[in-house]
Amino acid sequence: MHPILARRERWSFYVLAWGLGACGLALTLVMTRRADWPVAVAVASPMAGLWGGLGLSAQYVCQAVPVRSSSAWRISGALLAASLLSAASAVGMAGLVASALEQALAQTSWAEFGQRVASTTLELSSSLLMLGCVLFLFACLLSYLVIEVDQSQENERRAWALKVHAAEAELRALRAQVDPHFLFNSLNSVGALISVDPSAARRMCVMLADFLRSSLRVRASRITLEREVGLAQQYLSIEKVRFGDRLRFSIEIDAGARHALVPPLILQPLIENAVTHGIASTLDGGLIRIACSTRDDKVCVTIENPCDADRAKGRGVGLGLNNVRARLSAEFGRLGSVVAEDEGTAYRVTLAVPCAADDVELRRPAVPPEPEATPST
Amino acid sequence: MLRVVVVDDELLARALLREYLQQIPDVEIVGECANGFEAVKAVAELDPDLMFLDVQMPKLDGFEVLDLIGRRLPVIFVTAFDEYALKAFDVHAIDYLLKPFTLERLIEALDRARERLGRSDAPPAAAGLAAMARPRVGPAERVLVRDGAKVHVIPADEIDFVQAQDDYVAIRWQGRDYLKEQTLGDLEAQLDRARFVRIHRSHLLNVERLARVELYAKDSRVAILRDGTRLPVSRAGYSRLSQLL
Repeated sequence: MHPILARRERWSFYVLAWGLGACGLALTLVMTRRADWPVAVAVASPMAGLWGGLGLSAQYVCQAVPVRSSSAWRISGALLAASLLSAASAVGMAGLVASALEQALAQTSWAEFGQRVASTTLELSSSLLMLGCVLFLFACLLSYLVIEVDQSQENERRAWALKVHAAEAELRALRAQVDPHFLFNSLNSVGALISVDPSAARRMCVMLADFLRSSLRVRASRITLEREVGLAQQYLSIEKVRFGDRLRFSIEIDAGARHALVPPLILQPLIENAVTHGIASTLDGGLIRIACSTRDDKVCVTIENPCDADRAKGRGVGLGLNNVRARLSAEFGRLGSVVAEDEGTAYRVTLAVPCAADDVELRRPAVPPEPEATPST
Repeated sequence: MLRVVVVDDELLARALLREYLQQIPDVEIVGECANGFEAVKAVAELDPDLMFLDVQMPKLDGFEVLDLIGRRLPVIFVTAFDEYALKAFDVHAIDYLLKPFTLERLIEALDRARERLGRSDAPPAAAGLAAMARPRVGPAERVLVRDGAKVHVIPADEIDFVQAQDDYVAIRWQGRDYLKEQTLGDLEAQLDRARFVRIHRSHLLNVERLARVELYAKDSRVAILRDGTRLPVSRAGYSRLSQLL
C-alpha cells in the first residue's frame, strides 16, 4: 500500500494540497494576464490533478534509490530523469485533455472557450513542464520524509517489542528455574521440624535462604560449572531434609570442568526432574549421581537417577527438559545439547555445551567459596 | 471418635499432621501410609472414617487412590500444588489443605468433614470421576483395579476388551477378567480413542486385538478377536469401528 494512500489523514492532506495548488496556478494565470478566470480554472484543474496523480509515483522512485544506501549521483540522476519523465507525461496528458475538451465543445456555443483552453495549454506547455519538474522533485523530497518517519516509527516499535520480549523471556526463565512447589514443600518441612528438631528447622531455614540468595544473585549470563554444581548441591541438601533416607546424592567434577562456563541454573530443571519424577516416584528412593567432565572441546554433565519402571510417564518431565533444550539452543545454537535416556528403572540426562573457560573468574575466585563437592551420606 | 488415616510419602509431612491431629480431641489416627498402595490396603483393612491424602506420591498418586477407594471414604487432600485444589472439589473431596497450613485451617477442614459425615445424603465420589478430574494431557496409560487390599496396575494398551456388567466393568487382561466399579462410558472417556472403540452398548474393544468382523444375521455382526473370543457388534458400533479402521 502506498504510504500516502494508506492513512486517511495523509491522503486528505495530499488532496487538499493539490486543490490549493490548482487554485494557486489559476490565480497566477489570471494575475499574469495569460487567461481569464474560467480558462485559468479549466487549464489549472486537470494540470493539478495530473501532477497530483503522477506525484504519487515519487514514492516508488524514492524507494528504488533509498537515501541511506545510494550515492548522491545516483539519487540526483534518478530524480532528474523521473521528474522530467513525469512532468513531460503530465503536460502531454494535459494537452490531450485540452484538445479533447476542444473537440467536445466544438459544436456547441462554448466552442470558443474550448479553443482558448487548448491554445493556452499549448502556449504554457514549456513553463508547465518546468513547473512540473520542480513540483515532482518537491514530491520526492516529501516522500523521503515520509519514508524516514515510517522507518523511525517502525524501528521504535521493534525496539519496544524486543524489550518486552526480552523481559518476558527473563521472567519465564526466572519462574522456570526454581519450582515454587519446592518452596511450599520446604516450608512445610520447616513447620514439621520446629517441634521435632528445632535446630534442624533452623538449619533448614538457613539452607533455604542460602540457596535462594545464591540463585537470585546470579545475574551474569554465564557462571562456572563449579558454582552451578554448588547450587545443585544446595538444592539437593534441602530436598534431602524432605525425603530423608530416600534421597542420596553424589557429585563428581573433573578439575578441567570446574571453570567451564554455563548459563546459570541450567541444571536446575534437570535436578528437579531427578527429584520429583525420579526419587519421589520410587518407594525406597536411591542415588542421584551428578558427574561433570570435559570431552574434546565439550563439557558434559550427566545426571542419573533411579525411577519407577511403571510410573505414569510424560507427566511434566518433558517440560523441564524442553525448557533446558530451548535455553541451550538460544545460547549455543547447535553446539549445545541435552539427551535423555530412559532405561526403565534408571533415567539419565546428559547435557553438553561448548567448553569455554573463564579467565576472569579464574583470576578472581567466584563469590563465596563453594563447599567442596563430596558425596553426601 | 473420628478414625483417620494419614497418607503422605514424606516423613516430616506425616509428622506435622500427626502433631496437629494429636491436639484435637476425638480424632484418632488409625493408620499412617507412605504410598498409595498402603493407602488402599489401609482403607480395606482399617475401614477409617476419613483420609488425609497427599497428591504426589510414588506408585499411585492421590487421584488414583481416590479412584480406587472413592465410593466409601471422605477425603481431604493435602498438597503443595494449588492447581490440584479445584480438582479436589471436582472429585467431591471434602476439602484441601495447601502445604504449609495452620492448625486452625486443619480444624476447619475437620469440621467440614464432621458435617459431611453427619449428613446421610453425603454424595459419594463416583469411581472413575477422580481419574477423569485429574489434570491430564493425554489418555490414561494405565488402569487401576482394586481387589480387596490388592491393587492391579493394568497397562491400558494391553487391555483386550471391556465388558459392562451392571455397576461394574469387567476388564479382560492377559486372559483374566478384572472387575472395577465404574461405568463403561467413564472408562471409555479415559482411554485412547484411537485404540478403543465402543462396538456395542456394553462392549469396548481394543482394535489391536480384532482379527475380523463377520456378518451374523441381518444387521447383526460379530467381532472375532485374535484369541477366538466373539463379541457382539451393533450397527452403530460397526460404523464407529469402520470409521476408526
